[in-house]
Amino acid sequence: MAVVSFQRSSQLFTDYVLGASGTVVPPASWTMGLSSVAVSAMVRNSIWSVTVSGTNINELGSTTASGYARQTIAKSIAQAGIDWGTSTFDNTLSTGGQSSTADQVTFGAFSGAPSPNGANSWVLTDGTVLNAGNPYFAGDTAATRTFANGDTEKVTATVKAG
Amino acid sequence: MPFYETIFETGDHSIAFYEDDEEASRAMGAHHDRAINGESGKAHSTPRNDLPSTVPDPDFPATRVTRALVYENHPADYGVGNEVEAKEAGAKLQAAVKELTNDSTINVHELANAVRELSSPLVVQRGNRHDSSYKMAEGRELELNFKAGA
Repeated sequence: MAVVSFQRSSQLFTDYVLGASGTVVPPASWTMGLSSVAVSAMVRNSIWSVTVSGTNINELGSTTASGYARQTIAKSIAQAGIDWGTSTFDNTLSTGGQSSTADQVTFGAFSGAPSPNGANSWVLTDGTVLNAGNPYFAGDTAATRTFANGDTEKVTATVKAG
Repeated sequence: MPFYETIFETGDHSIAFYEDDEEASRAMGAHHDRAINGESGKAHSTPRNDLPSTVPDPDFPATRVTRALVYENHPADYGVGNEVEAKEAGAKLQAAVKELTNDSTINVHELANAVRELSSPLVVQRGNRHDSSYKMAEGRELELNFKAGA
């Protein structure tokens, strides 16, 4: 499955981690969204947008929610709530790095078909306004999910920073 | 228009946006009924041509709904922009300095972490698994009529 790390992730490293920036800062918490766009159509500077065009990321349920909303992941590691797991290290030169897996988040239950429908990717982002905020990284869903009344979706995000 | 925190029997939770209680009850009730009947909680899945057929796509069961809390705004909007009340921040800072001081020194990263936690919308530890995961106070609790007898 394809993954992409967006510009804001690298900027957080250069400006916040290396440079202790007071303006380029991580959010109070992370949020997780679903997109109809596959990762193969995204690029490093993709943005959330209501306009389905080019490399934009378009969010599920942004016209008709039908139970869709962004889910929250705490900005902490190995605490009691939904947050990131203890990170581990892979020393492989080409593909290695430090990785962490977040606790699983649940979407729904949906009340019917959201519009747009058909999730092809999940996106780690910030804020709760649909089609807005900074995307940090994204991964493909295992299949296209078409939601209907009573459906839920579960996403477990893993990131490896190499 | 409200956001609903659905708390499942397992302690999992989700935030959903519904137009009203009727829509919320319809969605949660349908999922709850699936759980009672031992059915899947997953959406219809269409295999993707752009992914290898070996990608695992496990099914998962529906889960009974235990509680639903109603918020006027998304509860993750608490602390948005990392802004909190100055008075609250001052009190937290004083308490953290007192708590983290060791032999007249203090680790600034631990102090910063204690202050930063102020703007997190999530509670660190729930009282029990059916409590809210959010610091924002809910407006009310939805009566789950579909739970009768199940």
